[in-house]
Formats: sequence, structure tokens, C-alpha cells
Amino acid sequence: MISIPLYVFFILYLLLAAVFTIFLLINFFHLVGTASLTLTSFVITVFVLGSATLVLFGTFILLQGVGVDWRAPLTLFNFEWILNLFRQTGF
Amino acid sequence: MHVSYLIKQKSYERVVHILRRHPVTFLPKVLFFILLILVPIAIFLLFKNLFPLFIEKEMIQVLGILLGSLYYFGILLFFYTEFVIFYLDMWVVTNDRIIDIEQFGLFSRTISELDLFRIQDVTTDVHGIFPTLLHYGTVTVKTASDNINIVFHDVPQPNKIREELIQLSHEDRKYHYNLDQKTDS
Repeated sequence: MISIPLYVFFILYLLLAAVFTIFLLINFFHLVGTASLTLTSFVITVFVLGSATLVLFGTFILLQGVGVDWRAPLTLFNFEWILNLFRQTGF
Repeated sequence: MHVSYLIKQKSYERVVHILRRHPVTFLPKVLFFILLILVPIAIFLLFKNLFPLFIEKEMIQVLGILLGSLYYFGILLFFYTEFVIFYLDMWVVTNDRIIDIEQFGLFSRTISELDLFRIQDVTTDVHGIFPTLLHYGTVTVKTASDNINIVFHDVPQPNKIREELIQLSHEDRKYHYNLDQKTDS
């Protein structure tokens, strides 16, 4: 049986969120470095940052609402699933 | 950073135009982005109606929230990247040269320069309902050489740009002609 605790997924989520932040910063520095930081690009940047903050905030609120135990294991693979399949088919 | 630093503006040079693509050409990407926002909501409603017991499991809810959050981060990043690629395409027209800066991807940019006195022909193309009504189109600047052509894609007021480029080209050619006469004498 292969199972991993749920907090591993949360760590993976945080890592991917960090990658997203890095690319966001790269995009922003592209705008600054090419003299393209005008009112339009500033408004779009604020919109993207605001939306990302909303998504992050919403995620944490929803996770708090679920109230899950992060140490609980999530079974990824169990050999009994295949055995049960054969038992059901009567093979 | 200012445009003058970006183009390494010369002392006698004056920036006449900083052109970008018309904003309406970004609209299809905005509509696509709005469509992508609705996808997780549609999937959630589908699962809620087809597999209501599956949705009620805590583990599934947590994984669904994390996946949904990553998906929204992804589409926000996609939208911002597409905007940066769209916005970084610019054409700087000075009284001395044209600088064409085209961004093809996040890490791919082409910069071309053309002296105004080398311009042989300027052509504008306005095709379609939206370009005609909203006055945007393509301006192609040709030189005597086959290699060097600069194309302004989807710029506003292309006919006005064409007339100004021809005017600037004449003035620059006169300036260079006078300069040559002075050096010869």
C-alpha cells in the first residue's frame, strides 16, 4: 500500500505557488526593463496581483472550512484494489 | 526605465511616436481567459450533480480546493504572460530612425533598427470590419534592400503613421544630403 500524508500535497501546492510568483516577477521586470510600465500595464499588474491574492485568500478560507486533519494519509495505491477486482469478476 | 535609455537616444534625436498594437486585438485573449475561469465551476457543478457522495469526502474536497487554486494561478499567469508579450511589441519612431521591438515569447525578443533616409516605400493594410471601423492596421516600411523591412502590426491610425513616416523620411534625407554636401566642400 502506497500512502502519503495530506500535508505533502499542501507543500507541493506552496512550491507551485512559489514558481508562479517567480514567473509573475519575471513578467513584471520585463515590463520595467523595456520602458513598458505605463498606466495600462500597471493596472493589469495590479489586477493580476489582486486576483492572485484573492485566490490565495479564498483557498485558505475554504481549507479552514473543510477542517481536515493534514496528517491523515491519502492512499495512492493498494494492491487489494486489484485483488477485489478479480474477486468481483469471479476469476 | 525610460524609452530614451532603451533606444540609446542620440543628442539630436527626438521621439515622435511610441506605437503599440491596438488594444482591441487583445480582446480574444481576454474572452478566452474569462472562459477558462468558468471551467472549474462547471466541473464542480457537474460532479455535484453526478457524484454528490464523492464530493462530500473531506480528502476530495481538500484536493479539489488545492487543484482549483493551482488552476486559477495558472490561468492568471497565462493571462499576464500573454499581456506582457502583447504589450512589449512596440515601434519607436524618432526623427532619425525606426526601432522595431517584437516580443515572441517570455524569453525571446527581436529588435530591428532602420534609418529613416533609407525608406523607399511605406504601405498600409487595413482588412476587415473591426480594423476599418476602429482604424487600425498594418504599416509596412520597405527599403532598397530585400532583407530589411519593418512591419508595424495592428497599429492605430495607420494612414496617419504612413504620412508622417514619409514626411520624416524626406526631412531626414534632406538632412543627410546637406551633411554630405558640407563634408564634400
